[in-house]
Formats: sequence, structure tokens, C-alpha cells
Amino acid sequence: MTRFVYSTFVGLIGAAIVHLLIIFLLPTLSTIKSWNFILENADAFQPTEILVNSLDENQNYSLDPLFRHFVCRYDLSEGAVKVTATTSDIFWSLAVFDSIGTTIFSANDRIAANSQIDLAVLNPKQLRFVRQNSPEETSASLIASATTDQGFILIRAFVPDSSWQPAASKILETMECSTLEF
Amino acid sequence: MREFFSVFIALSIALTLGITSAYFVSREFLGFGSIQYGQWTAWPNAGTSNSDPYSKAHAARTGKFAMGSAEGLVFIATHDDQDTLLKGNCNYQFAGKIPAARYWTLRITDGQFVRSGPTQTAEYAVSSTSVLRDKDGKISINISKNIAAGNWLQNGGDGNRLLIMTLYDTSIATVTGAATITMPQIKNVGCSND
Repeated sequence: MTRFVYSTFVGLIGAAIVHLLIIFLLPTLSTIKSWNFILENADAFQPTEILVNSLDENQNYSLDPLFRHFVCRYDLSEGAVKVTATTSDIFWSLAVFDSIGTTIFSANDRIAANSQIDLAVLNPKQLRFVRQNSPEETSASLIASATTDQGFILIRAFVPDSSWQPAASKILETMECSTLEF
Repeated sequence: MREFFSVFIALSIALTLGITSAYFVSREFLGFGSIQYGQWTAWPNAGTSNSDPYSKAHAARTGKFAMGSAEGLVFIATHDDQDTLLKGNCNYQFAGKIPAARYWTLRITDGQFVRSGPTQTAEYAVSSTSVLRDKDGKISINISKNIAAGNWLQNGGDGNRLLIMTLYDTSIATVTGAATITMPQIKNVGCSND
């Protein structure tokens, strides 16, 4: 009997270890669902709209149905990425995600100097270059520093009613996603 | 033989309990570090490099796109003011002041975050640009099956409901002395059993 109690006790401690191992390893060992979704639905450096209806039930609460969402997937090994778009009196915000789904930078329309979205995402090497040489291309850009080469930029544009659709569409139409060669 | 039996018991408990608990917790538990005002809960660290391992596991598994701190903050309510789960067959009154934010949206979903409502044209989301306010700036929204005068959000059907309020461009997560922040109340004003 004591043997049985003892092995149950050992089993419970083992369960705690297994539980913690899975929780800690899940983000690194499993595929990251949000990143996978972006990989499947958006080509690199190609501005793409993410439709709330195309997401599965667990994902879609994080995308507000009163917003439109535009994505640019980047790969910094091909060069730093620069995203520009023209906006007109519409509330927008943006976030830069790395390939494990972590937000590494965020901003909103108040941070922009004019009605232009202008953001550059750089890895440490590219960031050092920009700091030392202040190239023309990034002189007016918001600078986000990334630790991993792959990721995506998500722009949210507020469309509380259909009268805001043209302003949101303008962001997508003028959105450019280009690499910077240093 | 008895040795083998003990090891077998210990191993099977460790594996089944460890795996199933991790499976459910990573799906249902949104992580530590939440802030709570009344019935409303938010996870300001979700999706940032500061988030805890549970929150990271949940994010990896569910694929949510977290809000950056400069973007906004999502508050979720699962219970009404009487601590009863929000239901599809009940009517609620959402009333009070919304914390300082440039814009906000409020929507209703089922317990799995899927947009709810019996019809496709349901008014399932309202925002700060469209609601009516009283002279003190307070907001009252009727959450009911049938259309109501004033501000209205459609409820209906069966099962649990979630209210999701997103504050855009808000400093609420960084404000200290959070006791001064009051959130809107969610009052149950009657349920139907049909």
C-alpha cells in the first residue's frame, strides 16, 4: 500500500514536470499559429488584406470587426523593410510582429508626423548601419528594431461605418512594402 | 514485478495528467499579469516579450494577433454584475463611463469568441463614434434579442456570451492609482427561457 501511495506521489511530481515542460516548450517547438496563417495568406513584401472571416474562431477576437487589417510580411535577410502608406484623417495603428508572434513595436496615427505611414524594420546589423550613416531612405521613418529576420507588420484601420471605407481602402491602395539595400 | 508495477503507475500518472493539464490550460488560460476592473479583465503584457510562459503558450497555440501597447487594450467580460455567466437568452444593460481612450469598440461574441447573434445582419458591434451619450457623458447600451431604443447590441440564441471592449490609444495600462478607474456595469435585466 505504501508502495502504491509512493508511486502515485512520484507520478504527481512527474505530471507537474511534464506540464511545465510542455508549457515552456510549446512556443518554440510547435508551429506558431498566427505566423503560419500569415505565411499561408500573405506573400513576402506584398501588401495584403486579412479578412476577419478568414480567421478561425480563436484568432478572430484579436481582430476587431470594425477595423480593416493590412499586412506586410518581411524577411530581413533580403534587406531592411520599409512600409509606407498614405492616410487621410482615419484612426490607424500598427504593430510589428516577429515570427514567434510577439509584438516588437507598435504605433498609432498620433506618432506619425504627417498623414503618412512610414516605418522601417531593421535587424541589429542594419540598425547599426542606419545609426552610423543616416541614409536618406529612413530619415523620416519610424524605426523598429527586430531580433529575428522574419516577421510581419499589421496595420489596423478604423472603419466604424461604411463612410470610412474609402479612407481605409486608400491605405491599402497606397501601401508599399519595399526592401532597402544598404 | 512489483517494481515494474510501481514505475508503471508513476509514469502513467505523470504522462496523462501532465499532458492533459497542459493541453487544457494552454487553450483556456490566457496567462498571468491580468488587470481587472469590475467584471472587465485585460492582459496588457499579452503578446509582448514580457509575457509569461502560460501567456506565450496560449498565444502560440491559438494564433491571436495581440495588440501593441501603443495600439490599445482589449477588455473581456464573461460575467454580469451578479457574477453570473453572460448568456445568449438574457437581456443586459451596459451602463457607465468608458475609461479615457481616443476610440473604443464593444462587441458581443459567443463563449469561443465567435461573433454571435441569430441573424447575419445582427448589430454585433458598436463604437465610440456611433453611440448616444447622456448629458454627463455616460453611455447606456441595451443588449437584447429584440431591437431597443437608444444604443443597441443584439443578443440571442443559447449558450455563453462574451463582451469584448477594446480601448484604442489609451494609457489605462500604464496609469498608476488604478483604483480611480471605473468601468461600465453589466446589469442583467431579465432572461427568457424559450
